[in-house]
Amino acid sequence: MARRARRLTWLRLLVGAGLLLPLVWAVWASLQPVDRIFAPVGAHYADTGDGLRFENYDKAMTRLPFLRFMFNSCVITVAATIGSVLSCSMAGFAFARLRWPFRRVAFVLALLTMAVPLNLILLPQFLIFERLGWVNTYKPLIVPHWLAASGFFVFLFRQAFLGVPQSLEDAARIEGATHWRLYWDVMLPHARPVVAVVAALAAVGSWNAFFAPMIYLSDFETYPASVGLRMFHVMEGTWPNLMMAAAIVSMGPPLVVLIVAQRWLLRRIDG
Amino acid sequence: MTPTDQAESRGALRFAAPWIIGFGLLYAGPLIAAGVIACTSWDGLSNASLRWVGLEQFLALADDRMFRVALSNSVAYACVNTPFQLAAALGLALLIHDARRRRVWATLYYAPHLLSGVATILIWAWLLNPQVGPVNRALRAIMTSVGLDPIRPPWLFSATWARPSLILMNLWYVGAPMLIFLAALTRAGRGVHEAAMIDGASRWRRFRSITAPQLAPAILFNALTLFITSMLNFEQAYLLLNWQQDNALLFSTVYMYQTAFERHRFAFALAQGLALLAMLSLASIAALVLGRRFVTYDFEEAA
Repeated sequence: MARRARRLTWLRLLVGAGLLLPLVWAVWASLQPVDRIFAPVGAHYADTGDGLRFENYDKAMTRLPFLRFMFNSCVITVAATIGSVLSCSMAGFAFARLRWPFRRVAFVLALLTMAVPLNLILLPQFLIFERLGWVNTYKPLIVPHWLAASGFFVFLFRQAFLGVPQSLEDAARIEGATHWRLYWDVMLPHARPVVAVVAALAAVGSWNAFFAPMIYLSDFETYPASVGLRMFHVMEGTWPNLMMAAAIVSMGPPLVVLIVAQRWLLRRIDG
Repeated sequence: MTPTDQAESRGALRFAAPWIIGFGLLYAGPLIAAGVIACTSWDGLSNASLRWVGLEQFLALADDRMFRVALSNSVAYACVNTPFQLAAALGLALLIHDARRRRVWATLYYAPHLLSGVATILIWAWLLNPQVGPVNRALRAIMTSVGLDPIRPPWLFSATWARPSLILMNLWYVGAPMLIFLAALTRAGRGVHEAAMIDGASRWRRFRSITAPQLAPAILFNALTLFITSMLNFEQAYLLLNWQQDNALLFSTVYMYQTAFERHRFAFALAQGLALLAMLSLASIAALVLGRRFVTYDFEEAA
């Protein structure tokens, strides 16, 4: 039994290392002179002895305004994440705890929106946002998140709020709490793990978004990192080392989110 | 309604308002607008092109050669990609579900999913570079060291290898379905397993009679979501497209995008999108109905 456990640990390590390899290679490539990456297969590469080229990162940030792209991504992501948490939790509260006309029908509709894939609703949404004059602004990338666009997040909040004991709500009501007080002081603190999960998933989703920003933004200066990286791919195709440097920089924020939020994201698998 | 009820529902509507407005502005409105505009000849640029043509665009779908090529590419890709990703996700979940530091392993295996933006796609493009990519370098080193003639697959630069390349790299992105499998395995608990072990059931027997039925709902859910996301893959195909592929990566979403923004036939692109939505919805409903026959949701009773 113990031998089997040790073998399994080795296997897990091996798989984990395999999954990390692409990232390890990217870090390596980002620190090399470009001719080293292009050295033909099998050719013996005479090491220039220059060591690691950290200046690649400087070049990657300046050849294209990549720091600007990163900043743009931050603006979009922060705005979208705050909106997602607020609007989806408000909707979840209304579905779980309040009575209003057509609530049940509305909830079925909210669940149905989960079945509408983002990549297919983008063009129809473009029709509306274009009429509203939102093309070439950040509005199409932010406003939907303030309008509880994600049925999944609404559902997560509703489930969390359903789990709040009625006695807590009654006690707050007797003390004269309004809907807002109940929502802010009783419900949200109770749903902190879901707040963390929604914030993490919304942030990473916004950061990684590519299709929508590519459709809506045409002004170079306004590009987020995802669309900016594609510029490296298209324009600077012969500089893979700089592209790798930019790619690694752009993966920083999602990595931080994963490390900070993993205890909530992976809570469901704790036995 | 009493006055207090009315006051309550007014207050409640304030909380529901963002979602109600969002539903109208982000789902109902766009879908209705798409349905209407798809019946015109709008090019996406000028209102002069806005002429009512009825169902012409939808009928044109059947005759459009590229639409059929793109659809069959997407279906071919999704049908192979789904089982591979499903197996990889299940394999990873089974590998770590009874580990002691399960969350550390899960975080490590889940990471590629959260990083799955343009950055990792472009890293893969270079990993699979036929001339200088590390994958082919490693292949060469391994094959020559065992005395074989090294093969050098052209990966993303050929019609034959382009879709297999995508399927290969997608084995890396199975964090989300893996978590769902892990959650299902966690919920399942060990009580039944211990009882079966006492009865002398073998490992395989326990997997077939206990683990597999316990996982069935998760398998169905993951298979369905993986199939839909594969069918609608845009980012990877669009970023990795090149002319040597002879349209092998021209997926439905890519063709839809090109139709709208490069060929300027926006109304036709909307018709494509609505047709895809209808097809995927029907396929999902069919899968869920058929799935009922094989999937039990009540483990206590099944056990």
